[in-house]
This record gives sequence, structure tokens and C-alpha cells, in this order.
Amino acid sequence: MRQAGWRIRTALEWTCTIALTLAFAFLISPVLSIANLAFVFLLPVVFLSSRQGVVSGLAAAAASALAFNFFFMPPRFTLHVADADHIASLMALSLVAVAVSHFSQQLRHKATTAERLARSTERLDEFSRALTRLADADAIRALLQASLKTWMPVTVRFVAVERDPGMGPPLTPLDQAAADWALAHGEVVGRDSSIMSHASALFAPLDAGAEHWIVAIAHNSTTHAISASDQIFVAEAVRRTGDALQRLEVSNRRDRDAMRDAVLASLGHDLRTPLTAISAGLSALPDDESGIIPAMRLDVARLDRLITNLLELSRLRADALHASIEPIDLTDVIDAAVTDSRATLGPRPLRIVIEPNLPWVQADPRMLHHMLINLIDNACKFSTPDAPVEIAAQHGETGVDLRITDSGRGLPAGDSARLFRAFERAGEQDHQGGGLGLAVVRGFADALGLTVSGTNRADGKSGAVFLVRFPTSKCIDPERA
Amino acid sequence: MTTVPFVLVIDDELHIRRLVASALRRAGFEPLEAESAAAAMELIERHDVKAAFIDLGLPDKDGLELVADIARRGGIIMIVISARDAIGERISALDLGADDFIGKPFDTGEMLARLRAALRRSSQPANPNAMIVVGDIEIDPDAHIVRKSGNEIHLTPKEFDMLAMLGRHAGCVVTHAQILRAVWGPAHERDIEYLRVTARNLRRKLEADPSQPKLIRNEPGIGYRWTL
Repeated sequence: MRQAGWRIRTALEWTCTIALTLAFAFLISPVLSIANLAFVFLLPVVFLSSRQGVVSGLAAAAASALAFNFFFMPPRFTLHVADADHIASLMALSLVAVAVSHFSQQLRHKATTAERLARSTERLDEFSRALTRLADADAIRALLQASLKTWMPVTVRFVAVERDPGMGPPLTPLDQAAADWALAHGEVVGRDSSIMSHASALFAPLDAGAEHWIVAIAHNSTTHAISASDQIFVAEAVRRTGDALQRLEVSNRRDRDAMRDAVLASLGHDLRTPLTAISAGLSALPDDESGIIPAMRLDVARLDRLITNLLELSRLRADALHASIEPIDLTDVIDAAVTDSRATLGPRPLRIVIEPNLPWVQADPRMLHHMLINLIDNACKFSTPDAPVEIAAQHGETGVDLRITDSGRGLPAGDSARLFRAFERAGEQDHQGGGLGLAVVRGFADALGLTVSGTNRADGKSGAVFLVRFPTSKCIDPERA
Repeated sequence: MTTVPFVLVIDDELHIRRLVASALRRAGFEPLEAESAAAAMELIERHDVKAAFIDLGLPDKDGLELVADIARRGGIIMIVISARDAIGERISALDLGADDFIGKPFDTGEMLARLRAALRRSSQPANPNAMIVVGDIEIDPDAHIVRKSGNEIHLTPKEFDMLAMLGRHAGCVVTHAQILRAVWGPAHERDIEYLRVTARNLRRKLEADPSQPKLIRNEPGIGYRWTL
């Protein structure tokens, strides 16, 4: 209906313009020369080509040339042209008319493109503003759906890529292929596009960061396609929706991370509070010869390490470690770890060997400190209270080697990697504590880019050697620092 | 009139407060107890509080804010109580003006040692040119001379400045950033390598066994402490 009305109006406008021009030409023909009169006939060409496009303009040019010839060019009221001069001016009129029609059509095209672009930009900006107000993934997708429907007569459906099918009817093989293409190339393809145009809908990939969707845009019209410029517009709207979903995902993840860090920190606080009361209480009691008080102090220290290891393991598992890397003098780490392990080491003879001029190592000081405490703990766990422990930091084959050597009964034969798994200890059942300590050592070593291994002593004596290896990339030469 | 110094214990756990307070009383201090930041500020208004133990996990206020509030008043030694793995929290507290920290769980002997070191430091004259004497080491800032057991030890200017700074805070921790700012300037606040080089040289010149330091110790990730 709208189309028919538009056509009638256009035809009417065209005819009236030509008729008015003719009437005007008749009115002023007595005062104008025939050459000047020709210019009057350019007017409808300019007017109609700018208003109705190039076809109307060309038709107007032809009609003007004919009318001018018929009504005004001698011999009048024939299409015959007598004078060679008149033939030339008729031809000039026709050429100018065609050229004018062409240029005004171009202008008209530019004007409409600019207008459409301005409208699209405005719509997209409005859409973006609306997106930023939403804090829910479903609402964001619903807004895209609703907006697309307002902008063009289409139906919109979302197909989740990673999720199990079952949300809505499955796609036909051709549609699936188009959807896959859209996803793989990040392009809008399918119906009305140049790629897989036989698909039942236009498919746009929606990259929401953690998950991916396909937006299927379908319509029933057989006469009206989604134009190329509209496809660019759709692609942009979908891209902005993806950005909004990704921003939401990032902010949600940040909230989750902050929550998890807070939970772990407050868990540590809650677990250590009663321990602190016990520890402070113990120091108020006088030592007696039974040795119970020192033993309880040792238990408090052991419980504290267990809590620390449990929390660190949770952080490792939850990917919640925040390493802060700085150059470290192994002298400092060994000194601090030995100081904090005084109770564990007890009367064991301790030998510390640190090569002079050892490079600094790049690591997180807190993590390295815990690694060393756990390795010292492990060395004491499997040896008698008088068996010596040695801590040595030396130049290795590459970089720096840190060795903790005990004089216990050594490691059982078998897979040494098993040592570092949580809840597996070297075949022992009779020692308190879990294999948590070594699991944390391994986790931290991985996080810091170090390697850690456990073997039996190679010098013929009984005992185990744990080696933490700092590769050259993690070492800084003091000479160049 | 000699007054017993008031020491404020700020912790929301009654047990810990009581135990710390009784240890302080046995050691000759007059303990005051506060279970919240608000109660702490009230006690500080009413009494001439000399030092405070502050647990950073308080019910009514972020412990670090309380540290900043007390620091603004000035004149009160602050020792922060925090979990041993909370390095960032400790550095923040020290930067806000806390004098030292102690890790949970602590024993009261460790706690009193920290308090005495901080009191000793605060009782020293504020004159920057006053002689610093720690154990058998004498530092003369005026003449730029360091003596160990009477024998002069040659130090570079940076080594001297770092040693003097640690000496002025003997027994207390000084953060990496605090030393770097004071000795190398604010632009070098993050150049920890400088500290590592200088600390290693100082240990070679002053320690009996530089690989097992007894004087210049490091708190991993936090700073240096001249251990008494």
C-alpha cells in the first residue's frame, strides 16, 4: 500500500513539474531568445533528479528536450529541426540535462548516506548509553534483541555456542555452517549477505568473553533485504553488546576475586585468633621439667604452619596468588626461614652454606619464605631430633641452586613427582601433618618459574636432598645491579 | 613523680586482650584495653598513652585507618598485630606510621621485646647528629665515622647512611621504601637492588659471618631490622 501510494505521488510530481515548466516557458517565450529559453528546460531536470533520483532526472531530460523541440524550436509543433544551429543547441541542452541529472543524483546520494550514517551513529550511541546502564547479561542481550526489532522488521534469536543444545530448535545444517563461519571469522554472514546467502537468517557473532553466542536475525520479507549498510550497523551493534558483556564479566570477576580474597583472609584471621590466645597463654605459664610447655609451643607452631599451608593451597587452587616479584638475597630468605623454624629445628645441628657473590634471585619473598619453611619442616619431619640439616645456596649448572639436605631415612624408591602431590607423603603414616607442605612448595615453585625436586643423597649417607633451582632468567648478577 | 607508662591493647578478642594485658602488667607497664577503634580513641583522649598494640582486624573500623588516626595525633608508639602472611598490610601500616609489627600467633616474650625496642628508640634524642650506639658499634653522624669495638670501619656514604638509619631505628623494622627514600631519594623508592648490594657490603664489613647475619636482618618483602 505504502509503495503504491509513493509511486503515484512520484509520478504526479514528475508530470506537474514538466507541465509547469512548459507553461512557464510559454509565458516568457515572447521575451526570451530561443537559446536562453533552453535553460528554462534545465530547471525540471535539476529539480526532479535531486528529488526523485537519476531515472526521473533522465526522463525529465528527455521530456524537456522533446518538449523544447516540439513547442519552441522552428519549425514549431513538429519534431523536425530545420537549422543546424538548433540541432547543436538541442544536443547541448540534452547533454547538460543528463550531466545535471547525474550530479544532482550524486549529491542526493551523498546527502542520504550522510543522513543515514548520522541516524545510525545516533542510534548506536543511544544504544551504547542504554547498555552501560545495565548490570545483567540477560538484560543486555534482551536490549540488543529489542533494539534490532525496533530498527528493522526482523526477529532475533540467540544461540549459545558452548552450552548444550536444547535452547530452542536446532539450526539446519546450512544455518549451522553460516553460524560457524560467523563465529570463526567474526563476520556477519548468511541471508542477504554475500556469504551463504541461502541461510534462513543473518548470523552475527557475539563475543561475550567467557561465552560466545550467535545472533540469528531473520525476516519474512521476500522483497526487502537487510541492506549492506544495515549489516554493518548490525555488526557494530552486536560488537558493542559483546563489549558490554565483557565489561560486565570483568567487573563480576573482580568482585568474585575480591570476595574470595576476603574470605580466605578472614578465614586465616579466624583460625589464628584462638591459636594466638593459646600461644600467649602458654607464654604466661612457667616451664616445668615435664617439657609439656615447649612441646605445646611446638604444636602451636605446627598448627600455624598447617593453617598457612591450607590457606596457601586454597589460594593456589583458586588461582588467587598475587605474586610480587623483587630481587632477593638468598642469605635473607634463609636467615628469616631459619629464624621462623627455630622451634621445628630444635636441637638439630644446622649448617648453612652460602656462596659469596651469589646472584640475587627474582621471586616473591613471601612465597619463597614459605617454600623454605616447608622444606625445613619436611627435613625435620623425617629425621631424628639430632640428625643434622644442611641448607646450601650455590651457583648451579645454570643459575642458582638452593639445597636442603637432611639425614633422615631418605625417600622411598618410585615416582619423585608424587612427593609433591597434596596428601601423599613418602610412604610414612606415623608423622603428624599432611603432605600439604610439599604441595605448596611445588605450587609456589611453578608460580615463580622455579623447579623443585627431591632425591636421595648422592654422598652415600642416608637422607634426602630437596633442590630448588633458579634458572638464569630468575637471577641478577650483583656486579651488574 | 615517676609514672608507669600506659600501653593500650586494641583487639576485639577478649582472651587475647586479657593475656596481653597481664603480660604487660607483669613486665611493669600499665595496660589499657580497647575492643574497638572508637574505644581506643576515647582512651587515648583520656590517658597519656605511650604505646599501643593494634590488631588490624577490628569490628568498627579498618585497622589501617586507626593507625593513620593515631599517627596524626603523634607521640604514640604503634605495634601492629597481623597474620604472618599479610605482607601488604604490614607495609601499609608501617608506611602510615606504625613502628613495628608482630605476627599472629605470637608469644608474649616476642611482643615485649618489640615494645622495649620501640620505647628505647623513641626515648633517644631527636638530634640527627647525636651519636648512635648499638651494641659494640658506634656511629658518629657528625664526623661520618663508624667504629666496631673501637676500630674504625670504612664505609661508603650510602653504606653509612643506611647503617645510620637502621641504627636510629635499632630493634625496629624499617621498610625497603623508607630506606630507599631517605638514602637514595624518592625517585629510587623501588630500586631494591641498591639495598641488596649495600646490605651485603655492610654485612661483609660488620658481621662475623656475612652468610648468617646477626645484626642486619631482613624481614622478607618488608624491610631491614638492626637486631639487638
